[in-house]
Amino acid sequence: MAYRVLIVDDSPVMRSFIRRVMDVSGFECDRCLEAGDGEEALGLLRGEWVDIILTDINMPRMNGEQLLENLSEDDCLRSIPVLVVSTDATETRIQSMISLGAKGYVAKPFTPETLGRELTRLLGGNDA
Amino acid sequence: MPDIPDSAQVDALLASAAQDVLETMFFATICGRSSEWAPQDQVCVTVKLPFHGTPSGALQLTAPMAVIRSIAVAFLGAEDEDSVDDSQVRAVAGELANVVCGAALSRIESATTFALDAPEVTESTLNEARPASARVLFDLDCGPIAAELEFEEA
Repeated sequence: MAYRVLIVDDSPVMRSFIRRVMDVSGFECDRCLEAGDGEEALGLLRGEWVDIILTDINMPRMNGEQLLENLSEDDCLRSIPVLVVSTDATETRIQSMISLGAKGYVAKPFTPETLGRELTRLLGGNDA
Repeated sequence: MPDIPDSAQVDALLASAAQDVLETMFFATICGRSSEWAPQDQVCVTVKLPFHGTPSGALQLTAPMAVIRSIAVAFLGAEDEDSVDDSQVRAVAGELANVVCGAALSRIESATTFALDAPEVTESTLNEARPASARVLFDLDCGPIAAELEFEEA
């Protein structure tokens, strides 16, 4: 089964890298949307459904925390799993993002295997 | 306030973070560590990335343009150096500094949170290293690269 993915990151080269790593990991992506911040992501989600959102935290206009808050307040969007992909691997930050509704957290640097495993866990229903 | 590790520990944590990032996400081959800044009179890319935490400070990443271009080719999965333009090279340099800084601070300030500013990427000729709280110099297969952390006084 192929999935529709939204990557939210203010860096075009990082979005490109994540797309490539998903491909290398064997993750089947049917359609990959990109947004440069949370506000742009919410705009895209008004017209397009995705199976999962990968988001950075530190972004202009609307950061990852604010994006999670907005998603959780939206009856239509709150069921989309969100995977945070961030350079911040501190336990405080991870717990904060999980409490805001993130379903997973991948700290940079990461390998294709790590990202692929987390995507499979979130979309395959395996909570292990 | 959490204790910041001493300078030897910070050196080691910066080195392990930078090595992890270079090898895992930027597909660089590290040939060894160096003790002196080698690229005399070469045009270098310098990325300065201020951060705010406990303590605050800045990370500085420096490497010859050719080294950063080679890293950008690997990071972007490009066919060759001609297919990566200068703006992409600078963007990859900024991302490299961003990920090295985040990985290092996650190890050094693991009990707190931190915030990173946008990276400032410049080009210049550097003939000597500046003072830093911690510094690591790697010899990659494509040339040298330096990462430095400077903490603000409390």
